[in-house]
This record gives sequence, structure tokens and C-alpha cells, in this order.
Amino acid sequence: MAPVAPRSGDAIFASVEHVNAELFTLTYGAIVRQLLTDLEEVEEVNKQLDQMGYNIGVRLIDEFLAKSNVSRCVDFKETADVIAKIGFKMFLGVGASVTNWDADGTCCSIVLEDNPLVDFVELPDTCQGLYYCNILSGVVRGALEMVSMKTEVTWVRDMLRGDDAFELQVKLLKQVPEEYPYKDDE
Amino acid sequence: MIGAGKIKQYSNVLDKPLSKGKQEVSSSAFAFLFSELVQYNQTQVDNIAELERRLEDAGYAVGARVLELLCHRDKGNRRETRLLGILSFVHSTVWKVLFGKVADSLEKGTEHEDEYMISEKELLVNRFISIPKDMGTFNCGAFVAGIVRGVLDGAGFPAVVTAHFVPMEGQHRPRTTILIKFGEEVLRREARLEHGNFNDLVKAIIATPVDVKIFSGAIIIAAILVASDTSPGSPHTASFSCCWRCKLWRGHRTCSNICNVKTLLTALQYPSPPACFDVHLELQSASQGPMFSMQTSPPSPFTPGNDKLAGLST
Repeated sequence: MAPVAPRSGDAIFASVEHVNAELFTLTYGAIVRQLLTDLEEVEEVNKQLDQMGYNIGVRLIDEFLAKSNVSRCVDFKETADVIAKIGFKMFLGVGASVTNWDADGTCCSIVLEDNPLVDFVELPDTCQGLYYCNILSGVVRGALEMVSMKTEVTWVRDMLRGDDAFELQVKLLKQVPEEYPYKDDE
Repeated sequence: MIGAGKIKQYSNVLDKPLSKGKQEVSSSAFAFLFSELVQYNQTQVDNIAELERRLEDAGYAVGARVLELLCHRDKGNRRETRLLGILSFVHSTVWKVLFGKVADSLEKGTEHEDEYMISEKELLVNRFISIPKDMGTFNCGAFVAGIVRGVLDGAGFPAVVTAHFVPMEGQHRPRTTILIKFGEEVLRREARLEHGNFNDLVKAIIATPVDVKIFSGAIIIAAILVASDTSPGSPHTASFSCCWRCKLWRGHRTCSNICNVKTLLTALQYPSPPACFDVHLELQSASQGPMFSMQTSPPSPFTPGNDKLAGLST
């Protein structure tokens, strides 16, 4: 069977079922609020959000691959493009662009065009150290790990902290060679 | 800077124009997020009730904000003040915004006056969920129950809201029913509002100094009767009793459909004038039961010759 051409992010987003973004936004807000109450330390909340994102990423990659027809990317550049153009679009309905490549092509920035997580949000003085959208960085990290890429994902710019955009820095740490966890004859 | 986002920056979140609420995300994005919410809360509790309570808390935070948002955006900062109004607001408006559809049904509980149920064949939060055997009656709908409670509470209708699975005949999966049990004060207020105009009228009459000294009871009744009579076929019933304290006289009259002014008035014109008396007036409608009850103790003593009643009764 001939490989199917990858579908555009817009096409996938149009074909999947939708949920009102406000429900999503407010639910996320409720989660962050609960974490802040439970964990008290902003640092801990950042960690927990990242962990939640990671858990999501690990599961989300299956759906991503199934629906997008994306085949193996030739290099990290293509991967980053796919995440920005198809990944974000397909799940959150927002576009993103890739910029700020470093010289050896292992580190770049994904800049979001919009961010449904932060509607209605303002960080109070007590939460200034909070990376409110840290769940997103976890998602990217988790999803990439499932396709054999160890990455480090951090927020470089965050509008809730007064920057002019939402910018995620994705740094490729190492590409893990694929291993088959089980043998046929066992 | 290269690749700066399209989002405009506002120094204050309130400066940002309110979105129209048409934006959407994929339902899997929500499902993933919700699953994390449940899983995280599972690590924080050691029993199902506690887990449901925490989900409800999270939902409450959503509901309280949804109310604010919708009232501001869609209703020009007005919110419902009546029981059925707020219920249909939840069932229709809130549901439609949050879940893209009106809820499948809104019913009144058959056994209890204060219970209402919103049912949904496939509640969004239960769609991709199957409950492990060892978790018994756990229902992720607790989150939605929390949203409903948040909306109701914010609108001044405190209630206990719970989510239940109800097996459906011929259906694979049970439907989810959100059970709303309103607080006592809500029902009391509702009963009062039910007859709001009527009560206002009575109050207005009480405030009118027409021979208050003795016959206020009778005059109030007379006025009510006249007023109620303007809506023909009114199902209200007025009954009142007078208690002449010193003479231990009790009179009691009931008048259906409040049309017989004369009968009620004559009861007050009972024999000799009392030194003081209480009039207990109770009005009830056939369907709603007692709706207004009043105790008057006009100033005493009775001054003979102050009887304007004769004129009224004819």
C-alpha cells in the first residue's frame, strides 16, 4: 500500500470532535487552582503540571500518529515543524511557528499563535514563579519521548509573566535508538 | 523579534475583550486533561467519596466562573432569580455552552418536592471512562455535579448536587443523572416569590391606614378580595380567624375563589365589641397550599363608633 500523505493540521482539527474551549480553559484553571492549594509551593506545582503533561504526551502520541498519517521525520527540524503545524493545531486548534534554531539544529523555539489555556487568567503576586502552561511543555516532552527523542522543554517567554508571546524552547538531548522490548520466540 | 505570536498583550486581564465563546479544542484534548484531573485526585484520597468530593470541588470552581461569564456575556449581567428559571438556564444555556447541546432531560423528582434531575445519556466526562469494579459507585459526573452546584450557588440557589448512573433499558451504558436537591431556604423563598405580586399587594394594604385600629383585618381581607377578584377564576382561598382575646371568641371563615366579600366581613361583625383582638389571616391556593399568613394585633382598646365596616360590607 502506498504511504498516505500526511494531513494538514487544519484538516484534522476540522474532522475531529470538538469541545468548547472555555470548558477546557476553566477545567485547566480548576486543576491549577487545586494544585496550588494542595502543594502550596509554586515550584511543586510547576513540576506536577509538567508531570501531568508528560502523562498526557505519552498517550497523546498514539492518537496523533493514528490521525495525522505522519511518517517518520527525517530530522529534528521536521519533527519540530510537525509539532507546531499539526500537533498544536490538531488538539488545541491553534497554530504555532518554529523559530530560533541553533546552529546544529537540535534546539528551537515553538511560538504559539494563541493559547486557549490562559483565557481569563492573571497571575496573582503570590504565584509569580508559576509556569501556568507548564502542562504543554510536559505534553511535548512526553510525546517526543515516545518517538525516541529525549528532550528538554522549557518556557522562554510567557505572556502571563509579561512577555510578548508564548514561546517554548525544545532542546533535543539525545535520540534513543529504537529497541524492541520483547523477542518473537518468547 | 522573530515569530512573535498573534496574541495581543494586555497589561490587565480585564482589558482583554471577552471572547465570544466560539473557540473550540479537540475533544481528546479535554479528555486527556480530564483524565489527568481524575488521576491526580486519585493520588490525593483514600476513598471514593473523597475523590468525588474533590472532583466536585474542581467542578464548582468551573461552575462559579461559567455563571459569571454567561450572565455577563449573554444576559447583560442579569441572572435568573426563580427556581425554574435557573434550572432551565443550567439545563439549556450552560449545557449548550459547555457540552454543545441541551441536556437530554430536566425532571422534577417524584418523591421529594425539592429534587430535580438533569439527565444525559452520554455525559462528556463519562464518555471515555469505564469504572473499575473495585471503585464501586464512583462517577466522574461528580465534576459536572460540581459545575452545576457552582452555577446554582453563585446564583443564590444553594443545593446539594450529586451524580448517579441510572441503568437504561435496552442501552449498553447507563445514563448519568445529576440530582439537585435545593436547600430549604431556596424553596421557602420560591414559595414567597411564587405569589410575589400578591404579597406586595397585601403589604401595600397593611401600610394603608384605613381604620387600622380594629378592622384592619377585615379591611385587609376586603382589599385583597377586591384585588384578587380582578383575575377571574383565581384559585386562591382566603380563610381567617379572629381571636378576641378577652372573650375567647373564635371565628373562622373560608371563602373559595375569594369572591364573597360579604361573608368574610360579616364574620368580623360579631356581637359585642372586643377590647382587643388578633386577626389571623391565611390565604392559600388550591395547588400551592398556604402562601400567605399574617397575624395582626391592632391597637386596643376598641373605641365604639369607629365602625366603618358597615359601609364596606354592603
